[in-house]
Amino acid sequence: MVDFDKALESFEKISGFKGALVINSKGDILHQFQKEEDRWNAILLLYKELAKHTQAISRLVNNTFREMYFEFEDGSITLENFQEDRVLIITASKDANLGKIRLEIRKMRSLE
Amino acid sequence: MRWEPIMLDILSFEKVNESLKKLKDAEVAEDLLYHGEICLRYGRLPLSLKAFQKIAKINAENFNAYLNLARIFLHLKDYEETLKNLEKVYKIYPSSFEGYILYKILNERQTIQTGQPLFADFKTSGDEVSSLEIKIQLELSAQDEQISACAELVEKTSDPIAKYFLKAAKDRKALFLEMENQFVKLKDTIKIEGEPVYTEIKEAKDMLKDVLEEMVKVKSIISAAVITQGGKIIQSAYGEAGENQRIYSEVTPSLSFIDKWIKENKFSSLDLCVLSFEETLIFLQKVLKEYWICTIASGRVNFGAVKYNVEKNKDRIEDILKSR
Repeated sequence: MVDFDKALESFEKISGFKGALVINSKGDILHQFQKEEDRWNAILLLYKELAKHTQAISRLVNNTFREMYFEFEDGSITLENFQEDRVLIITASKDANLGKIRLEIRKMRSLE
Repeated sequence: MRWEPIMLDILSFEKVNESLKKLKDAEVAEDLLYHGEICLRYGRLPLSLKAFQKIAKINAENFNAYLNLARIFLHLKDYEETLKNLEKVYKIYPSSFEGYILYKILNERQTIQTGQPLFADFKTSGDEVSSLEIKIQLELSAQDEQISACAELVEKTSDPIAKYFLKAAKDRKALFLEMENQFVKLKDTIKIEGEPVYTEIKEAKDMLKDVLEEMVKVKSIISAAVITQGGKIIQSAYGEAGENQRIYSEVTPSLSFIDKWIKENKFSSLDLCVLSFEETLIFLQKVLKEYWICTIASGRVNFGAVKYNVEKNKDRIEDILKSR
């Protein structure tokens, strides 16, 4: 079982990391690690809308949804689907060390 | 059914009319026009009159019928009927020579009505021809031979209007030549500037298809497409797994929503979007400002491998899209 509070702290030292959030599929915030991200409401809105389409695609391809990744001009948003109705959202700046962020995500997945 | 001119001349209108019953209206009008003109040429005015009246009945917009009726009434010296028919010609075909005559006639209508018609100068007997006949011969297609023939006829007439029509026909011929020259020049311009663009568009589509087909040759990639921001598929290619139209139909609304969401929440523009499932990866890469390369990969796919494949072809796709 993933200890999200502890896992989120591990992101703090990664360069370019801006913030992380753990929500359930309804969009309720369960865990939050705030560094400099302040656009969570907008990000949650994005997740809720896209979740509908990912569910439809999931049925079409007969696969479980795992991840959404958005690369903007000035940063990125990663949404990771975990077991027990948990979704991890990570925001990072453009020059963030994405490799390290992905490594931490993999570590968390290994604990599932 | 087509008519022999000589036969036409000797057939009664009733017999002709009987035969025409079997034909469609357009065919009847066409045959009657031929019949009427032949009759007119041979001086069979009553037959010719009936033919053109019937054409006008079949098609009230047939300006040739009214023009010929005007010619007949002119021969018959019924100037009021000539005028009426010329008015109809003018209404249907205002830019015709007839339109010009009518303009001239209307200006002198009072003269016509008081028995001093403009047509009084017309000579219709013997070898001399009326100015209107000269005009009719020159109408629409003022060919060189016709102009030369009319010039000979004009020599024989004292009618000043006939001379005017000949001059007008020569001027018109000169104008046509000038227009034709302009058109040829314009056509050349279109050929130089237009044709390569057309070829390029055609090539662009084929080239796009080639690139996408190359992309789907990579084992894990099952489909690749270029779609617009609005969700329209510009070109697509499918690998062995077949079409994925239904996936695209779910992906495209997401792109539209994201675009709206970015504007409303003042996020910077989105360059790349990845939707990952257990054994399917949907990779969207923005190209230029309004297109997306959408790649669908299956199996235990490596994000980096898909990204490499897209990036390898991105510049080529961008160049092709720029040329569209």
